[in-house]
Amino acid sequence: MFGQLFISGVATGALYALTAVAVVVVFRNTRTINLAQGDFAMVGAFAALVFIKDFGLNYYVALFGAVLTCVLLGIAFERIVMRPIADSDWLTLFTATLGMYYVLHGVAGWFWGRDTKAFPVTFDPTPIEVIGGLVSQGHVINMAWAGGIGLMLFWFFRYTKQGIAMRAVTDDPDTAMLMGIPVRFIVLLTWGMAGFLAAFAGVLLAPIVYVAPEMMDEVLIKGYVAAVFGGLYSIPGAILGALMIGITENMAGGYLGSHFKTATAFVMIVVLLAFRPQGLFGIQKRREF
Amino acid sequence: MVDPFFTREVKLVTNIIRQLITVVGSLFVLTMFQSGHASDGPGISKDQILICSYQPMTGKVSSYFRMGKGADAWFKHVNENGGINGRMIKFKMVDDKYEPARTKNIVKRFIERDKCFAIVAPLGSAPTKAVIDYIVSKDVPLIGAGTGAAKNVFYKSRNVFPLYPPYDKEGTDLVRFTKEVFNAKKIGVIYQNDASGKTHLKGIEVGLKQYGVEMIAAEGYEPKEVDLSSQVIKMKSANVDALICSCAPEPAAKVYTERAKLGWKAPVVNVFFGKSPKVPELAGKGAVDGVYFATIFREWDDPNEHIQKAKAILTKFYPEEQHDAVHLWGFTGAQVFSEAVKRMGSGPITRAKLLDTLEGIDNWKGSVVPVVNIGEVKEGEEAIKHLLVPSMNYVVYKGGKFQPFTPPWMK
Repeated sequence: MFGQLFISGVATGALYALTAVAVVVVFRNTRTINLAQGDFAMVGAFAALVFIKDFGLNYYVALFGAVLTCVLLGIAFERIVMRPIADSDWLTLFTATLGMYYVLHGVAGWFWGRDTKAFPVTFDPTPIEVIGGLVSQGHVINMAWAGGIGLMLFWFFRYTKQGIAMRAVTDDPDTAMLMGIPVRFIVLLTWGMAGFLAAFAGVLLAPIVYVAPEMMDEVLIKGYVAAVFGGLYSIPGAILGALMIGITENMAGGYLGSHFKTATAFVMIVVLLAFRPQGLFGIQKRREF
Repeated sequence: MVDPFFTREVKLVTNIIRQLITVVGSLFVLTMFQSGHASDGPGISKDQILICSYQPMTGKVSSYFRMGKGADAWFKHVNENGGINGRMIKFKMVDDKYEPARTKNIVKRFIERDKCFAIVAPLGSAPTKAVIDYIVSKDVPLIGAGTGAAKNVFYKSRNVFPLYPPYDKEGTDLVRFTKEVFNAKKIGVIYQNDASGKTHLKGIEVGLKQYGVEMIAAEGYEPKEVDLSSQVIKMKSANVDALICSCAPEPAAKVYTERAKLGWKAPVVNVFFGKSPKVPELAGKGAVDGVYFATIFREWDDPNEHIQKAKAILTKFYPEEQHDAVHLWGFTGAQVFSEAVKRMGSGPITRAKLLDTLEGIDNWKGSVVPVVNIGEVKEGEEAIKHLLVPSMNYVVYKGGKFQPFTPPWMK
């Protein structure tokens, strides 16, 4: 049972990871806790569903279409909503994303309907055995995508000009601007990246949580908690946090009972924050806001 | 001598009073005109009856909004055909997302602000549990709520008309099902962690003693839970002979997907509120093949004229809907309410008269339910005698569709 609970926990944690990473990316560069991140993903899932079911496109073309849709959504959100209030305090920025959360919920329900929809599963349903536990091929592919995206982000932040500029903006936006870094463009890029990550999260999660306007609500909470766990500034921290939440939940559910499943993961976070308020990889009082 | 300024003041005040009397009087006459008979109950006007319903229009269990759609389709059909005794039915539905805290506010507005005549065909165990005391305290009829939770079914009030048999009785019957159909000695239960699941558990515990079956694992789930793998893994590890799933459609789909993934073959019977075409649609037909479901309504392809009429009405007003048993829950409450209003005639309509008329419905065969016999509940007695649908049936999902199944004791 241990192996099965562990591998199922890793699979679930991998699903939270993309949302957690997106929360971190946006927070690092814009001081914004993006409550609409889950809904960006939901739009991506619906877009892919439309591309597959209504336009008859294959899974990968639909995924590309969803990525494009979500990147444009992220960019439009930055230009129309966030840029005019960019200098406001964190509460105003937070409230704007809360507003977007409700707008996207409403629009999706009005446009695509409120009931839960199946996402066409294109993976072989035969499970694969990994460290003594069975995991579906869909979950393996999800984990592979999540891992691949993690590596791609590592490469992006480490070796590309834009990635290094993003890190500079994270560290000190004023100095970055004085150094000639186009901070506004970097912020725009950040929101585009949030859309990119959301599209993957939405499409990968859709066969598991099914497609509905509120499909990401629970995942967003777990993703946000994972981001806090990792320290809100750290991408590896967010990924580790997400995996730990997935595994802890499953272990608690399996050994202590389902009543303790969600509670145990949150207890773990509370205990961590009590001893290390900056999170696992955070730097204390990184920036006043 | 009177001060001319004082005279002017008096005239001014008199004029204001006169105008006020005119306005208030006109409003009073207008209100009287709009409310029809002076003795009509709240929500009744000359040409309209306002009834209300809370529904999970959005949220994780939004597939149950089909109940609201079923009731709404029926009332739209009634209105299109001239209403009942000259009055149209205004069926107001509000989204509570299956969140009891929201339901409380919504029902308070229904009763205090909107003056709804009755609450008809609302959905949910947890939401109904949260508001039933308040509804009854305000003397408002609660007709055909989509729940079999004990609090609703055994509520001591004449105002409550439960829709279907209590979950605990269903739980007891399902233990018998596992014993006599699956020949199980050790069973496991996955249940929704709310009033519906806990009531099922109570009934299951009764059934265990009655039929000599042992429950060796019981795991709950939250309706919003993303992943149910740990619950299913635990069932498989416990090596149960059979599983009872007290699961709504979406969680049921997750359970059957996980079961298929683990290659776990133990037989399963699902409670009736999880019987929905959404389950094979979400989980895939292969994952659900061979799963048994309890059910209380006839299938949509039944040639019965009332089922076929309901099918045509639903298709007309909700063409996108995939026909489901949950629609029939809504049809039942709506049709019984309509029948009672019809029987009350064109005279004054009051809540007390509605209760008396509903209790007078006996051997009525005009709805999607084969026969409706509503018993009499005296003050202080349980509402179970008011059940609109009294018995349970079974189906098995095989070859891509739900097929009737008769367990040995029903043959």
